[in-house]
Formats: sequence, C-alpha cells, structure tokens
Amino acid sequence: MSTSTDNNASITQESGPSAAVQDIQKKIVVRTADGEVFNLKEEVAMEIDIIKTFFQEDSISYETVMPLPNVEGWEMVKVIEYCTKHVELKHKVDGYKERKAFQALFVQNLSTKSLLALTNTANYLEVKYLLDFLCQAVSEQIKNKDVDYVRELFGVENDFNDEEYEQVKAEAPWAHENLNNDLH
Amino acid sequence: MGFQSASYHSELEKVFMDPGPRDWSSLPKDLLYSVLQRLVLPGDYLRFSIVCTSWYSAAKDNKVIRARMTAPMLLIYTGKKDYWKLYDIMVNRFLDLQVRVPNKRLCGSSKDWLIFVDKNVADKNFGVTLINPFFRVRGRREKENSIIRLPPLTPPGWEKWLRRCEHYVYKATMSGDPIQDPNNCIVFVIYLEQTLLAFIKPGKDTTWTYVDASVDNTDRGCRLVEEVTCLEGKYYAVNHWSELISFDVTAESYSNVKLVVPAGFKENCIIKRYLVETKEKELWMVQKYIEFDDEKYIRVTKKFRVFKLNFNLCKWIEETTLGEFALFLGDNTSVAMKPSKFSRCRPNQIYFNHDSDLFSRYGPHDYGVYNIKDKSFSQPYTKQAKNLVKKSNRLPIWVVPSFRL
Repeated sequence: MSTSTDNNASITQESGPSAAVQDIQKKIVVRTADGEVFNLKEEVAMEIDIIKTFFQEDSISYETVMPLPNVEGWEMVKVIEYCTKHVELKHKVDGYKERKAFQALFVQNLSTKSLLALTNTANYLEVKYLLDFLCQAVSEQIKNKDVDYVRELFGVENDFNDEEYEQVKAEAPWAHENLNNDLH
Repeated sequence: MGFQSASYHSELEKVFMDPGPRDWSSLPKDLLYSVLQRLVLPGDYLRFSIVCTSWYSAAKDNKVIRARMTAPMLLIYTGKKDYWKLYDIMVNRFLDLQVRVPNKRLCGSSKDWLIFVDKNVADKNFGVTLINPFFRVRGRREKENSIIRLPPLTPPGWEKWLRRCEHYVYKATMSGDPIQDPNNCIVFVIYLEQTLLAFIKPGKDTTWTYVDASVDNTDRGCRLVEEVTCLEGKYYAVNHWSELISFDVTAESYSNVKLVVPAGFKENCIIKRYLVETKEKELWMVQKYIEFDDEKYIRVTKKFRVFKLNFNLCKWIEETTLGEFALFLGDNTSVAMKPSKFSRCRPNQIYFNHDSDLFSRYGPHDYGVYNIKDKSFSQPYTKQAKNLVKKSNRLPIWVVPSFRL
C-alpha cells in the first residue's frame, strides 16, 4: 500500500520531487474557489459524489484538475478529513466509539457560521453521510433555543409583517413555552 | 430584528475564513427539510417555522414532517386543583407548561379537544362539554372558545346516572373541529349501561340524535358499542361481538344502521375493542385482552390482536404487523401514526393507556407499550412520569395537538 501517512488531509502543493512517492496510489486533483489545490487519494475522492460523477461518468482522465468554484479551501480540508476517517472506519469491525469520538472533535472547534457553511458544502459536493451528520449537528444547535437566537445564529431576518407574525405565532401559542418570555 | 451582541462577534472571529455570502434564508428546501426533520419536539418545529417566511413555507410544505409532528402526548393530572401536565413520549420529557382542565374523568380526546360530562345542577341534567387544553395554558391569557358546552344528553334512563355522571358517557369521539371546521364537526357519545350511540353537530343541532339500536332484526345490533370512527365520509362502530356496523349521520331519526361484519369470534376472555382508521383508507380493529385480579385490585393487559377490514369480503383479517405504524389507544380517539425515525417512538408498537372499564374502577397502572413483533410489554416512561400518574389517581389520556400550518 502507499507509504504516505494516514493524515486527515492530504494537502500538497503542485508536483515536486516527493510526488513520486505518493504516486503509488492514484490521485485526483481539485482546485477550490480560493485557488488552493488538493491531491486526494482516489478512494477518498470517490466518497465525494460530484467528483466521482465528474471523473467516472464522463471518463475524464485523472490528469485533469477538477474545479470546485463553490468550495473554500478550509472546507475542503474538513471534508477530506471526514471522508478519510470514514473510509478508514469502513474496514473496522467495531468502529462505533471511535467514530463518535471523532465526530465530537470534528465539530468542536467549528463556529456555527462555519458549521452552516460546511453543511451547504457537503450538500453541494454530495457526500450523504457527512451531510446527515452535519444536519444533525445543526439541529442540535437549534433545539430548545428561542426564535431570536436562531435568527441570529443563521443570520436570517424576520421578514414577516407584524400582522402575519402574530397570526402565525397564534397558531400554536402553547408551543412557545417559556422560551420567549412573553407570559401575560 | 438582527441586533449585534458581543457573542455574535466572537462567533465570527472563530471562523477560519469568511464563510462567504451564504444566505440561509433562501436555502435549498431539501437542506432545510434535512434539518427540520431532525427536530422532533413540536416546540422546536414551530419555532423553526416562525423564523422567516421561507422557513415557514418549508415547514408548511413538507407533509411528511407535519404528519410526524402530530404525535400524541400523554395528559396527566397533577393532583392539584385543575392543573394537568403534558408528557412527550417522543423525547421522554414533560412539556414545561401546565394546562387548566377540570379535575373530572375525561371520556374522550380527539385532536385538540377533550370531552367530559358535566352535571348541570341548575337544570338538573347532564351536558357533554368540549374543552381545548391548548387554549388554557397556565400563566397565559385563556383563549375564548376554549370551552364548548353541548345540549343536554337526556335519553330514557338518564336519571339513574345522576350520582355517577362522570361515567355516564363511556367514550366520546369527535370528527372535524368545532372551530376550524364546524360544518364537518360531529360529536359521538357511547353512553349508558348498554353503551348505545348518539351524536350531535355542535352549533347546528339543538338535540342529540339517538342511533337505532336494532340492526337488521338481529339481537345484537348497535349496542355495547366500543368505538366509533369515520373513514372516507362513512361512519362505523364496533360492538362487543366484534361486529362492524355502519350508520348514517343525517337529520333524520332513521340512521340507516347496517351490519358490515357479522360476529365470527368465539371469545371467552375480557376484551376491549378499538377501531382505528389509518390515513391510508384502511380500517383496523384492535382487541386488547385483559384480566382482573379482584384481590389485588389490578387489571393486567395480556395481549393485543390486530385485524384489518377486508372491504370486499366484509371480514376481519388478522394482521401480524403494523408496518410503519404505531398505535395510540385508550379513552382517546384511537390514533395510528408513522413515527419519525429520529424520535423515541418506534413503529409496530401499541402505546396503550389505562382506560375506563365498564365494571371496575382500578388503576391507573395498566399502561405501557406492546411490541407487536415479540409480543412483549414495556413501560419506557421516566420515573417522574410514572410517579405523577400514580399520584394523580386519574386515568391519563392521549392528546394529539394539531398544527394549523
């Protein structure tokens, strides 16, 4: 097997003398919106459906650098990190605990804004299991929080007009429990 | 609304890079759905829907999520004055509020509404009353129309029940909603010792219509009725002999009562019967086998059997699985629903309450969850919930909050 380390992200600059060592396993190259270039191991790249489709369905040679104009460099790092781990755990019989620990760490240092951006990216790149995990992480952020907090979190404006808003809220007043603090 | 607090700024600082002008208010709908379906608490779902207009329409448009959100909750009397609490089984916790409902036996629960019998001391008769607990949250202004009193129910023999009026109606059910859908609203009651059937259209009828007990000259007929339901505009009742009877709801006194499924069972045990309509045009009958221990004053549920109506053969066909459905049975209008995979509620199970018996007053203790596949029982509620049920000394009941989105 390849002697390259099992690091989470295989970010390398363009080909240099060390590239020869990494050639043992096939690599796919992508370029993100900010100009960063990533060399992905084939098995990791194939976890990302739009990459898989790009190369397999259209039989494009791996020498082509695939552009990802909707993805930022840091997001690619995180996606590669997650997919690499996923591939690694695929071969393990009882990877449950390890997966949970990894997932906790994965989101730990992500701000909510970054989490949201990453979720959008996972959706665009079509990595289902990553998307599922991130949606779950986003929903955890929403659970039990009041509306103003959620709006702030998502950077969303309340675009109801006053009358509409009162009407919508009145549809199930009991659901707003104590969180909104508007007891009569 | 977006005021900038200190915490908001520090959140921004934690970002590796500026995440870009991603606009979460106009996200692809399927992404919003993905997040939305993971919110199992009705409160979370509703707060999500009032964030902005496009989130509101995402929440409103997704029928699957809306269906899952209308899961039953357990209404438990606190033991204090007229306060009741709601226990959400999807996440195994109490809602952080109380509702004001009289400390009386509830003989029915349909969608948002509870039904009980009220003694009218002045007029010396009984009325059947509808009450919406969600309009009567403690600490909030009570919404008007939270109580609807129906005309007195006084068929022959009613005077004997003056002292035990809470059990005068064995079970009551309602189709439609008296405020949202008044043209289609009908309240059905199963009353007296023979548990006969009567109905009324709130706001339209001034008197109850008593359904003809005799059917096709048979002995049994429309008596010892155990539950009434509506399927595709037709009304059905199941009786003590597991017969299915259909009847019309018209202004005329002749209700066109017909026998749909004749008796075919040889039953030597004590059975309670429930009639459930799924949203998929099916009619099920569930039989609950119970035993009483009169020395220990307890009632035990032994097993359940589920039957589906074969409309062509006019027969009950026994089913061995509920598929994706979970059933909620008790004094409430029986409910079948498909639980969200993200909630604690599992399919192919029966969530049953300790409901009323005609002949004994034990309880409440005979409640829990029956797993159809392995025929096992469990009580997966928190200790707090179980203690409250015990302390309350009132039978708990399922309520299904509706979401008028």
